[in-house]
Amino acid sequence: MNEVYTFVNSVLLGTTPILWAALGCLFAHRAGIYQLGLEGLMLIGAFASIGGAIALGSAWTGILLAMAVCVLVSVVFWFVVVILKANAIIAGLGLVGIGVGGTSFLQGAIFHTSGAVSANAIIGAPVSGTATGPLSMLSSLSLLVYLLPVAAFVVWVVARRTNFGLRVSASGQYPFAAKAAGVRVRLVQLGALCITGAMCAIGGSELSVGSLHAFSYDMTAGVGYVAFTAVLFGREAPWGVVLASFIFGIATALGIFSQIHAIFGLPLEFIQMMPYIVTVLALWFAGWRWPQAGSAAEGAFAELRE
Amino acid sequence: MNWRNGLGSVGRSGVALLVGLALAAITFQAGGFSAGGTASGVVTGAITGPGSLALTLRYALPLAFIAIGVVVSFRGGFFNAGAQGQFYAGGIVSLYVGLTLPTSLGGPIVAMLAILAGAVAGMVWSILPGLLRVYFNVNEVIGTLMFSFIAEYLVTYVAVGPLKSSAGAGQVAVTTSVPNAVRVTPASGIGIGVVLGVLLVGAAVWWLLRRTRFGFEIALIGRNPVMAEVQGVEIRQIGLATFAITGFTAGLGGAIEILGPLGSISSGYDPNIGLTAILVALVGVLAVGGVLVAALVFGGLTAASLYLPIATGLPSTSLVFLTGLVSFVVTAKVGWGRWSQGLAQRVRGGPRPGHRGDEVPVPSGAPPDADERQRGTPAASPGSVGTPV
Repeated sequence: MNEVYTFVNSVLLGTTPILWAALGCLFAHRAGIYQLGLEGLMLIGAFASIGGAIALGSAWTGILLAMAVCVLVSVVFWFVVVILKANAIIAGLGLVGIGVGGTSFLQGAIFHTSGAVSANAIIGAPVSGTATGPLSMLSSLSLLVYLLPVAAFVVWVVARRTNFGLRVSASGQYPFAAKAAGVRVRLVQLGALCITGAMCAIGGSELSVGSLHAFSYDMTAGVGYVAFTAVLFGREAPWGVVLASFIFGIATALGIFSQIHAIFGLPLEFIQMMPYIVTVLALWFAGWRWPQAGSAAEGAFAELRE
Repeated sequence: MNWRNGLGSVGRSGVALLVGLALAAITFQAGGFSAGGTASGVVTGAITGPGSLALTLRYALPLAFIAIGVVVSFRGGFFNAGAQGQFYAGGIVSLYVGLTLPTSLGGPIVAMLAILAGAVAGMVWSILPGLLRVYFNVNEVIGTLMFSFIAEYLVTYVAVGPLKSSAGAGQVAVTTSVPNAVRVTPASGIGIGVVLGVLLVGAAVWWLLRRTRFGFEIALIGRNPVMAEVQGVEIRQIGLATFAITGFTAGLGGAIEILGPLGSISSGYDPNIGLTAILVALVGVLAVGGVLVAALVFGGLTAASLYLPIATGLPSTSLVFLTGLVSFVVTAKVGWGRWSQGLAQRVRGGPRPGHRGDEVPVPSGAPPDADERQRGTPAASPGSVGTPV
């Protein structure tokens, strides 16, 4: 039984950063903007929250700082992509480079190390030190994990049950109609991108001050891209994104699990590939089962945006 | 893209590069590294220092191989972002072939076979997400990136697993080195064969894009896939072919890197070459000549990024930061680019700017001609949203 508890624990641990970022990216995607820079935003968030936690002495103010920084970066991204009409994909890949290189540079400039930067101020874990029993499922998980159901619900309400959510979808799907109806498409896209930035900051913070209590170079290792895929695979619907993120979280946990228990007798590296292979399979499945899912988003770009 | 608006595009690339360099300099200054010292460090590391020019060329060569292939995909509007994975695949397979075939066959023959095998491996690594793209409409950016992550773990697997050398030092596992007879260049990474190879591949791709029906069809798809399909272009076949070509040249780059300067693969080997190669293709305005120049620029920056940690203590990952900054702005359509484009066309008496088909095709997923449409039909959006650019 304890293996099952440990497994659930690592599923939750693996899903949380993916889900925070994916729930945020949902808004950018619904607003018709490919935000491929999630990875960069998460790294910036992870670094800013560690820096904030060290400087300000509290992980929560660290997270607030991270959110502020990521929102600022998102505004710049909006300016470049929406106002200057840069290619969103290339700008997004650039944002990843800025995140990877910029945090590494600042790490050297501020903390004078290229190794890990750890913080004493961390997000508390309500349950800790429980090694056995059902409660061990929640052992050492940060509060940001517990906040996920709330976040998912709020995202669902905002995306599906508010005026703003409707405007976001309209801006993404039929910008001309949205314009004609008086929606200020660019401003709505700005709002959507800022939400994406803020939630990526939380996802990144979960990695640094939440679970690992440290920042290290390129620590997201593809989580941002996986989160982006979760939005595609979840067909831009809040609950679909939750489900997709859990599938990727389970793949991550399976990797860790079989690493410990040597289940398949495969070399370690092949097990570590699992989340990426599952992502490819998920994309293939989505493209095969819902052929229009991908093309709708692309169509929004090629034909309808602005 | 034709020659007439080449001036505008080159201007835009130059501006993006300068903006990126300026932002990076400001950041470095703010981080406590003097911008002037960094700039002179870049010049020393890339050009004036002893052996710097050779190092610049050494890093420009693989970039040029990859970026020439990326141009083909991007012109067709297929966003193949997985050059790094294809580079790894080429490196791994060429290493395997180079180690397995007996040198009694003759060093150059083994080397040729290994390079060919590496290029084919890169091609396969690119065609797989390509198949997903053309038959299942799977987003090719994510597909190719995921294959890159998978290839990254394959590199570590190869280094710690089947090809591991007992001579590995410390924590880093290293594969056995290919025999000297099979190496295509000395450790300096510069060989006349490799330089000729880049020029040959560049010439072949130039000919393919500019002088063949295939190249014309790629351009058609890049500009307007719907129209291309109506006109009878086999989008799937052409698309797959662009994926194949991109993978082939990226695999070549990987093979020549491994059989040339490196000789072996170490675990965690990450040359950060994928994004840089995409950027080289874009800064080189998706033209073969431009790519060769851009590859030298970024080869120089790579060489400088190795020198800067010694000279000024700046971490070598600063290059990733700079690359990111330039990518961030390189496709932005600033007023100056459009103005210079118009000027170039007035001077040469070409069609007015914004004439459909003059733009560099932008990969799918982004509006290739959004601003053209806006400029062309201003009356189409009466309730204009936000401020006009």
